[in-house]
Formats: sequence, C-alpha cells, structure tokens
Amino acid sequence: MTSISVINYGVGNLHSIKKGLEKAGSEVKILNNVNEIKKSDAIVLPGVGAFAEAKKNLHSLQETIIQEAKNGKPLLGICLGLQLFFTRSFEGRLTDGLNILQGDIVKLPTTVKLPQIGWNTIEIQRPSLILDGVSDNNYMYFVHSYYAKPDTAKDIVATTEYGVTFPSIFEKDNITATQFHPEKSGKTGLIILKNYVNTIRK
Amino acid sequence: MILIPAIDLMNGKCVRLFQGDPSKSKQYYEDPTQPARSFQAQGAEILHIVDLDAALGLGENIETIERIIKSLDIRIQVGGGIRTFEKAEKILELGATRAIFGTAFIRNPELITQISETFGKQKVAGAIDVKDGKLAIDGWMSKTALGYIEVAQRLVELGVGAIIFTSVNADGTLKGPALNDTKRLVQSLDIPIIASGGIKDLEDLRELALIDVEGVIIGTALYENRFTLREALEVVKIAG
Repeated sequence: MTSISVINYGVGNLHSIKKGLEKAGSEVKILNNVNEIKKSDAIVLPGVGAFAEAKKNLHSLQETIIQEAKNGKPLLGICLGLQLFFTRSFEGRLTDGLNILQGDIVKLPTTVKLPQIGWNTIEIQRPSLILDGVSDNNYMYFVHSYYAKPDTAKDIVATTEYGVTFPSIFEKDNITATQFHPEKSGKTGLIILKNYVNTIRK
Repeated sequence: MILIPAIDLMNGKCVRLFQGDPSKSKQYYEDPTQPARSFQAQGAEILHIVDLDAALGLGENIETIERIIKSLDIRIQVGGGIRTFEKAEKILELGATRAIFGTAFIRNPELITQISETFGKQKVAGAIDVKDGKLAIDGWMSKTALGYIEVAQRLVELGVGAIIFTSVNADGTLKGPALNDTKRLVQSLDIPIIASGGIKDLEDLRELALIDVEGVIIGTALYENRFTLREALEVVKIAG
C-alpha cells in the first residue's frame, strides 16, 4: 500500500486529512521525523495557521522537504501548505516560503468578505489526472485570506473566483497543491484524494 | 477555527435559554442589534442568529432578523423554525449567508435537497441537536430515537454544506462542550462541522480547535463575560 507522510508542524489537528487519505486507499503517518518522512512514498504538507509561524515551525524539516521535492517524490500541499510551497508571502511581515513553486502569496481583495469561508466552485484550466471524475463548477471547501500569484500560469490546473480569479489547483511534475481542503469537500474532495493516491502508485 | 457569536431571539429581544428550556430564559439585551454590532466591532466573521419563537412554533422574529442583517457587514447564518422552502428563500433574500435546518428535515427531507439545489449547498447548514445522545427536534422539546451520526450522514447526502452540532445538555450551562460526541461526528463526516453548546472558557476553544472543528458557536460565555470575543479570537486566529 502507498505510504504517505502528513507533516506535523505544530498547531492544529490533522485527523481530517489523515482520514481522507486513508479512505483514498493509502497508509498514512503523521510525522515530524526526517528519516521517517524520507521513507514514505509521498509527502503531504497540510494547512494550518499563519504563514510566518508555520514557516518557523517547519524549520527543521524544510531542507528535507525541498530535497525530497527535487528527488521527484510526490508532494501535496493543502491550503497553507500550498502557500508554503511558494517563494514568499505578504501575510503579516514578508516571509520566505520553500520556493518549490515560484511566485508570491498575496491577500484576496478587500471588496469581498475575508477570510473566504465556505464552498466555492473550481474552473478547470487544463486536464489533470487528479481531476478524473471532477467537473467544472464542482464545489470545494475553502478557508483562506491569501492566495498564490505564480510567476507562470502554466502550472495552474484550476481557478476559483472570489473577488479575483485565483489559482485553486497547481500541478508541476511531482508537485501538486490545492488552495481548498479536499478532505472537507465531501464526495468530490474524496475523488481528488483518490486520484492523487492513484497517481502516486504510477 | 472560526468563532461564531450567537444571538438568540425571543419576542424581539436577545435572550439565552438554559438547556434550550424556554421557561429558563434570561434576557440580555432589549435591542439585539446592540450585541450584534459589538461582536462585529470585536472582529467576528460570522454571526449565528436563532429565532427561538419560530423554533418553538410560538411566532417569528423576522423583522428583528432583517434589522440585524441590515445593520451589519459580516456574514450572518440564521436558524430556528425554517421548515418551508418559502421561509428559507425569505431568510436568504434578506441576506443571510446560510439557512440552518433542524426539524424540517426529519419530516421533509426533500426540502433540504430542493433548497441546496436552488441556492447552492454553501447556503444550507443542517443542525444536529443532541439530547442524551439522541436527536432532539421541535425546538429541543422532543427527543427522538435516532442516532445522530446516521442523521448527520443523511444530511450530507441530502446536500447540506455544513453541520452545526449542538449538545442540548451542555447548551447555556457554561459546563464545557460535549467534546467526545463532537469528535465522533468530526471523524464520521467529510464536510465542515461547527460545534455549539456549553463553552465556558478559552481552554474549551483550544480543545475544540484540536479536534478539528471548523467553527464554534459561543453564546452564554460571552453574555456572562467569561471572556471577550476579542480575547477568544486571539486564541484561535485563522490565517493563510
């Protein structure tokens, strides 16, 4: 069975994502141990809390994550996890991210109610294995005030509209990231997790 | 975790009930827009309004609800006595961010699907009110024999976008939330869960955040000044 490490970097409970990935057919460990993380087939960086604090908590693991990404290991970032993949974030003080994907994390426009909390639709920009069985306008569950503005549009798999059109799914080689929470997005979210687990097997 | 202050309405006033018992009510504000404005000023992201008269079948506070919605900018979810399509439509047209269904669904499950398909599932939340481990309906005055996890799963199938889980035994008591029951529900569903009932201090909020609830409704603790909303928001800041 595919083994997935969900990175535990402090605050918050990772039960939902663990359960979601298990339902999707993988063996899941919640880890902060470098050697164990290296042994797994894929790494999930979940999303909890504020960018700067998360980055700080991730400190002892960040070299491992960056190296594993370079080695081609599948990496999935969810919500804040997606944001941490990028070059830097403007949340609070300017903070460097992991720079696995290139671009900035910026605030959603203040013309809409922040944070975005709730269900919103995705618009598919290019085909992807992780969207097998998912269609345009399917609903996903979002909780965030910031979004990724990538240097290049070519890794954008889906976008979402909330005051601005922002990328809600990225895919670049072995790197996948969703701004929404697939683990809280009901049946469609589970389809995405299953597809993801299937891509790891291949 | 999102903090959701509660405003319960009876005869146009802001009240709290002890364990949902209308004979044990305490009035806090003559004008409910007063606490509503205060919660907004302190940084609330969503407000939770319950029309107790409507839930108990004793009347309606629709004008008051309209007044609160019109006087605030933040999101407002509304529950209590929403048992028809027309009522849900009216609440949503007034500008409520979502309508909360409890009892209605037991007798008319198609209603939830109909409303979810018409307005989108983000506009529909299902209330699971549990008394002594069983589902409570009709403004919590009657208890049913239904297991709450199964009912919640059914609500998800019918199309709700969130579940609001209330422990009736804990509500209004300041004795702490029903952590284990809430946890069981979070672990059984794959949509967001909002916990409600019994919050007494900031520690309760920390514990709820740890079991991965999406939000928590706080009522009596705020009205009895156990802590301020501003203090609570410091504890459970969400960002990203």
